[in-house]
Amino acid sequence: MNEKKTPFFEFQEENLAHFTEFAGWKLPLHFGSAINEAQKVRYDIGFFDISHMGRIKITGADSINLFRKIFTRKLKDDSKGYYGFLVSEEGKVIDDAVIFRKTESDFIAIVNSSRKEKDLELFNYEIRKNNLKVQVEDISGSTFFVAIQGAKSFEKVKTFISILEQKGVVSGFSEGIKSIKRFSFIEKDNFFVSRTGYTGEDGFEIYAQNHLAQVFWDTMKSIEIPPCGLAARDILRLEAGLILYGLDLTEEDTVFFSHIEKFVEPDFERYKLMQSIAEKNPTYLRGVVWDNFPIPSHKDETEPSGYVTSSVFSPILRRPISFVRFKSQVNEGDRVKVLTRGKANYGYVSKIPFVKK
Amino acid sequence: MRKYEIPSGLFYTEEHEWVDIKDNIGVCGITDYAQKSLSDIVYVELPEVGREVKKGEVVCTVESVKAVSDVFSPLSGKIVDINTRLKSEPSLINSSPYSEGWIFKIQIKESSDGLLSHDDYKKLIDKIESGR
Repeated sequence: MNEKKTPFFEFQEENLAHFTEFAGWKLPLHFGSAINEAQKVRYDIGFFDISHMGRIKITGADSINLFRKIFTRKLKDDSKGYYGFLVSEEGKVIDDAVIFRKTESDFIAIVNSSRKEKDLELFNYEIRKNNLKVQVEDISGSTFFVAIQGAKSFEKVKTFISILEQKGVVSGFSEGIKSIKRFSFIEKDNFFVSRTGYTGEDGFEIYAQNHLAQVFWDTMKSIEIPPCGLAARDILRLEAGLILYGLDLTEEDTVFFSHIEKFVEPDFERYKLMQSIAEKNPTYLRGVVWDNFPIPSHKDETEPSGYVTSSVFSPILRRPISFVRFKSQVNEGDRVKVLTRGKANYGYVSKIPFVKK
Repeated sequence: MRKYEIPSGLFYTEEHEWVDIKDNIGVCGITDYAQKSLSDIVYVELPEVGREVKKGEVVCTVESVKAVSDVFSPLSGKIVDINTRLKSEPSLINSSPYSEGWIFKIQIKESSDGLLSHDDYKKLIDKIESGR
């Protein structure tokens, strides 16, 4: 009962949210209908409170060197974000993250809430060990974080930002937003806007200082950007073939032999180490579309041998979909059997993403 | 505050099932509170007709996009009918939890002790809601 609450909690209660516990946080599961919320984002717009996610500032002359050691992507360009993996010196994937590069010595890492402490440990360990000039500042507690997502989010976010500028909440953002490209971002005085998201749709992620929660909520309401819950977010991310760390990927798993291996660049320092670990115990993360219900649960066993990592009902496919980690190579179209609470269900190995726009 | 329909004349359980008892037959389903908490119900695994069940036993499951919920029998007895419409229209539980969304009928073997009255169940819901 001691779950953490985000600065939007009171507003979510007023909007009749049904809450769930997630990584120690009390977050909206849905606001009445997860399916309607997911469909609204697919075809129009919605926003998610993602304040539980970690926001960490990494600054100092050696910042880029820190990331060269631990992050699987090359952070080449200023004002851009990169999705990839944080990797320990043992070659284990500690987390998936988006690292935004402001300059060569100024970065913002967006990490999973359940992994934030581990990520901080990794940063600090590497900094100490390599004697790097890097400062790490966790700004998660002083800011909130929202994801405005959906087919119509570009137009709406431009309006949203210009209203905030009229109200004097921020300044100097609206020009930049007009030409912002996918994975680009703008940050000034702890106000951050990126054209990113985790729904498979166009979208923006914005963090700002906690005292702005009320004006954010009211402004989104005034331009009809509705709140959506975690269940809708889970539908959207799975339909789009996006993994959830902790279920689809853990420290014990490999990112190789699957659609996420492209986020590890071959000249990453720890690439060979990761690869040698993976080759000793290869597993194959794949998408499966099931013929029928029930919706398989995490760890349900499959044939060919493997287990379900996460599942959801896809409103677009009208069927349950899952990520499955197989112990042997399987190919698109192969048949799969799963046992869920003693009941057999069948499906086929699908393309990723499950749903193509 | 969220509003939940709690019809009078029905009995309830702490696990949010309802039962309408007439002439030794109990019609059972899940409450408005249960369906609203689950949100969109996409699948109902119905019990078999003729099965003998004990009060508190898992009779069937209902699934929303993310969660599976067990449905417990409010009474001991024999399942004598199931709502087969739910196979193709599970969302009837969302749209009409106390009427078209009924799940199974049970021929009651034992007395209906231990069920919650309308007032008891309303108190339970008020307590849950105020504890949020």
